[in-house]
Amino acid sequence: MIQTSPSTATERISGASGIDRFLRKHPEIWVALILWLASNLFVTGISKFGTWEGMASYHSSANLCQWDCGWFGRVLDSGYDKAPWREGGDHANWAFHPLFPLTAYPFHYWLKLSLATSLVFASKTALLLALYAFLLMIREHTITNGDRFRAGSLVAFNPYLIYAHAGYSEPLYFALLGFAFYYAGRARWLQSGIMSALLSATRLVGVVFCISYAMAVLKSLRGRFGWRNYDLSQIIGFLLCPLGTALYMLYLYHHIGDAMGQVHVEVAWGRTAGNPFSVLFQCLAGHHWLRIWGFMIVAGFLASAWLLKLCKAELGIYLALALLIPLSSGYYGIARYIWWQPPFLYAIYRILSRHTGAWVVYTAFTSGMAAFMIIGWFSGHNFVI
Amino acid sequence: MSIYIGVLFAVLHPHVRPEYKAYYIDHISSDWNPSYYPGTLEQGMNFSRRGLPEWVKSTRGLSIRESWGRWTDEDLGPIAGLKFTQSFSGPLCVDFTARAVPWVVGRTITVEMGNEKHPLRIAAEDLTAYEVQFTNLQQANELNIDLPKSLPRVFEMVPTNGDPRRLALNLSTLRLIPGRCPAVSASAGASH
Repeated sequence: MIQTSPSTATERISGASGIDRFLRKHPEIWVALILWLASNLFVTGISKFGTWEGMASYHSSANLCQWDCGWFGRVLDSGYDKAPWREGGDHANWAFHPLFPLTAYPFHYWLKLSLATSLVFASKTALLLALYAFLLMIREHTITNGDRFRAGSLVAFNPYLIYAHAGYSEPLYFALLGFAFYYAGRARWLQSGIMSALLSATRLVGVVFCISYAMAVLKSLRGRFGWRNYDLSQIIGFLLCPLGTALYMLYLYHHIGDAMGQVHVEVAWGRTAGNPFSVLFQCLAGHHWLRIWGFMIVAGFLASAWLLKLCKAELGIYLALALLIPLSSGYYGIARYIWWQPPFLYAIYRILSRHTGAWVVYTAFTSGMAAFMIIGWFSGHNFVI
Repeated sequence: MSIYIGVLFAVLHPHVRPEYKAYYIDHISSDWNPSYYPGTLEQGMNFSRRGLPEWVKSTRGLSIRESWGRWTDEDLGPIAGLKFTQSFSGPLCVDFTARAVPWVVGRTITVEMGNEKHPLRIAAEDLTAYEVQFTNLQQANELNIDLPKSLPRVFEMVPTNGDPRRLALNLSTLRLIPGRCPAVSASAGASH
């Protein structure tokens, strides 16, 4: 029998109790971790199965880095282009905002991993944060651990889950937006502003959070709109919101002379601003994937309206604008712009909470779709982008 | 706050080359950094060929190169055309071949060069030869085709076609012949 001094035993018990108490107090942490592991297993497993059957070519994480992951890799490898020169001569990597490639920097330059592996690991790491952020955001509606697992599964087994494992910025964007909404909901204005600043350095559409932030501030004032009722942290937080994209625009102005380069370069991909409803009509009138995307877009707008009905205007308005802006320049990528929005998954959670029997059906659908998209990721067909 | 004032200034005052501004910002040029190949006015240009002939400085209102040529796209501007590296005076024949979308067949467009404008009826959907005779140009260096306004998107007219562009003409070849246009046979479907 191993003898330990009473004080050491007491310390160990206290330590274990401390961890246990911490985890009991913050269940979102271990729920997020378990779901993250499950998500990774799911993607790896499906990729392996696909490879066995000749439908995929997955031999390591690096194989998941495709399409836009390559563009983020170019930013990470050689910085931003001085002039357009890629892919036919008029493309440049300015449309890919800097924060996500920066998160891959330690993996590539400190751990000496390949570009592809670094970006994939960075997106997987961001997924863990995304899960945690969403669980925090939805905390008031999750009472039991079962609720938390169900809520987290909306993220971990998202139909477009592949983007969280493929070196895309979607999970980082999702995490930062989730945190921004969480802090705003708890009147922690500086933290919300900081998250929003990082958000706008991840994707341009993150700037729209300024509107949600302002709505959250006004909501907190409960009708007392006089100027004396604002405090400094609210104002500083608001000023912080678009800071990320502002700094990036100043950098582009210094680097290439065009502060809007990230928008203007879209013309190289044939994307110019137009009528988003015209694009929606095109999708609904089209066939196959176009019509599927059209239904998704309609579902996104319906979710936005539902959030307004739930008196969550800051979520509903954000979701609507976050769909309208990319939709105005085309339909490619619109599916991930819908499914990687915290307000959209929040709306789904609230709906499914009212119809608990639907959870099984919904989870079966999304998992199946996620598996299909993982296989499709390796197909080279552009319905996945 | 000063950061945002700086951003506003930067947005309103880009300092870029005119070619960059024309292509990326104003969308009045359809070519970025094109390569130029040797050729004469009479040899003309093939719109499906990569680059531009050395006598064409830039294009406007034209979509990407395809195997047939380049479509005009109203989203890239209501006027399609070419800017030349030289100016033309006196009589000049513009000889081009083009296809058309069905919904512009029979409509009249305006072909403009310098101080002269000429109406041109779009004759057919299939590849058709057109000639426009300019009689007294004065230092003209741009050819513009003023297209019908508010063209529908392709998918609005053909639901099974997902093309979102507002197309009118697909330009295949173009020649500039100083002087009078040569006589054209009726079977070529030429239109003035």
